[in-house]
Amino acid sequence: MTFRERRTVASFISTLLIFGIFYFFLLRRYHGESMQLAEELRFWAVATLIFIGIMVILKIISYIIFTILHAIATREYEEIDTDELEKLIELKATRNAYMVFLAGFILSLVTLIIGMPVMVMFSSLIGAFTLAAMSADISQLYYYRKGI
Amino acid sequence: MGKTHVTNTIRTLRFLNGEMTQKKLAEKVGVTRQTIVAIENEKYSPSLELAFRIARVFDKPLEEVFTYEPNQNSSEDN
Repeated sequence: MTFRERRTVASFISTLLIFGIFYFFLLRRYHGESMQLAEELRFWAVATLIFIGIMVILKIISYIIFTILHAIATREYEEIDTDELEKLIELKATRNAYMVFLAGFILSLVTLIIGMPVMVMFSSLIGAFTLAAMSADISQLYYYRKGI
Repeated sequence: MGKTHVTNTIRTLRFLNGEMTQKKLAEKVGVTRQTIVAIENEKYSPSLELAFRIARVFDKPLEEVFTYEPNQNSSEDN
């Protein structure tokens, strides 16, 4: 497995962990029955924004930690160059991630239309964001392995 | 996805140039070693500019390094 592939797997695992831990603590703080609609909307809006912020920051930190650990383990520093192949793979992976997020976004709107609780709508939105990030990693791994 | 229609002789040319390593070639043409591996394994067709840079390293014309081999069933042949 190359450095790029390992880095992608690490990114995938970190996305999954961040989502799992965040959602666990989020549900512990959520008391839907005792909340007014406006209050509940505000709770979920704040939670979604915090989630996006936390995801971005923790992904950067996990990326740095992975690079350091990899350098220590292999005693070889891999320069993080972005050449034409890497750019092409990133573009395709980002395209796939956008498609997954769009599907999740539409799904979250549908949940509102069919009368499901606000919690389901925002959970779908957070889930779509996570799935999009994971699909980007899976796409990258696929293109590294199979070629482009 | 998978194999491209562009084949190449990079592995042979590296051998003939004193067993030049993939890393060395990558440094000379300004890409990562993984990209050279992908090109050698015919999993990626390089850009025209990169193809020229690789050919220039071996001091060969482009067509001696890269060859286009379309499928036999391809409509391009008709």
